[in-house]
Amino acid sequence: MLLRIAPDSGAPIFEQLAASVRAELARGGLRVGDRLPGAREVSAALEVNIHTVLKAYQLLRDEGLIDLRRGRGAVIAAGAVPPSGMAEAVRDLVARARRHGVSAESLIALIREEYPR
Amino acid sequence: MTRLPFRIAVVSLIAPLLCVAAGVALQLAWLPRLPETIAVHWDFGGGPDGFGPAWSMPLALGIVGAGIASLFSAMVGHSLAPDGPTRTQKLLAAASLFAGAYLSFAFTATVGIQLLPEAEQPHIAAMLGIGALAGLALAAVGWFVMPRAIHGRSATAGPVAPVAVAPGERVVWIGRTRFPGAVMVALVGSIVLATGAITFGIAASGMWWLAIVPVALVAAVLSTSSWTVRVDESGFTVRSALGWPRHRVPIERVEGAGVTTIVPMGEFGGYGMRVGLDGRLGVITRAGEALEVRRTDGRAVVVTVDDAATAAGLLTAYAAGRAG
Repeated sequence: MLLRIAPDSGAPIFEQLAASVRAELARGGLRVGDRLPGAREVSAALEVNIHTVLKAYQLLRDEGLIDLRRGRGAVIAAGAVPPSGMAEAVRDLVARARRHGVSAESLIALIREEYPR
Repeated sequence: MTRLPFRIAVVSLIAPLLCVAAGVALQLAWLPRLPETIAVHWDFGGGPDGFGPAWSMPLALGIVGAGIASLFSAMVGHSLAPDGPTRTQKLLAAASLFAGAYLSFAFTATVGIQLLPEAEQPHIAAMLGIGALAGLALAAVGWFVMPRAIHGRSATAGPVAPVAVAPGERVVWIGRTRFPGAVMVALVGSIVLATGAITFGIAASGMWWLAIVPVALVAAVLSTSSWTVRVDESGFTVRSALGWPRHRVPIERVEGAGVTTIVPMGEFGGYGMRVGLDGRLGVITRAGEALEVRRTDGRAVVVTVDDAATAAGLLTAYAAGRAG
């Protein structure tokens, strides 16, 4: 996978690293179950502190994009890549809600109500 | 699958099949003069320790001999370029002829000697030795019957679009490549079987040093089954999961990079870290997409890895940046 940071851009490095992983997911370069490179490898290749890499991985875990498991490393989580057709379905749903004047809050409330069933 | 040129077809398929056919025909002709049950296997001392019906030997030779010749010639044909065979492919074709001749001779001789009274039967090992020599001689003739080997296919890697690297940006590409799950299952299974057999051997013989064999097998699998590939500003590195073996090409030695397609058996004769007979160093875990790194000294390294185009693009960008 491609990892890209700009150390002088002002944004925290760990956020740039996390953004790089997100971009790779969007590009289709990573699939569910793929393992991210080890933190030590990334730290050596990008010449950044290993704790910066670990912080980026923790951020991605908190976002639900990866699972961190002892001995297995960082693995792309099942929910990280929406199943095909999901984005289109959401787009259709939002377009319909707009047509009928349903606000985003009301639509989200409707979705919440639907979930427990 | 390429259609096999005539001389390669003769060596890899037609001649071995003729050997097998001759052996099968001779054994079938002997059938009426043989007892119903004959010896089909011998122990190290040369005494028979396995018996079977007389017809089982020509049947086994027919199936095994034809199977090996078809498999080997298909492997040669699968990866054959129109401009000629590589040395690996010639070696495979010659090996097919060796196997055909050796198996036919060995099977037929073991049946043939049983036509003689037991006291006059030659030692089985002598028959196998003669068979091996005959096979080697035929294979050597076969080698020179085939066209001259062409030198590699190093120029086949396609160019790639460089990956954009803005000033002040640090971009790295890190990839993993490993033996497919099915291959690992087969390897682990073989090691378990070998360890079992060796444990039994140690218990029976007391040769405790045999224990080094399973340890060596495990180390060999661990060191070649999983690899990390890295492209960064300083160059290209491929390293086994154990940390060794590894190979590094510093960026000042990178001439260029591209994407190529690998046929493991045809071009490298197998899997792991190995030198192809065309001189390329290969880290081969599977067939298909591979990153090829060309060095300034004219040599090349290939690694079978997914997303090779991105890796090649980044390496190309860094190599160009060094030149410019």
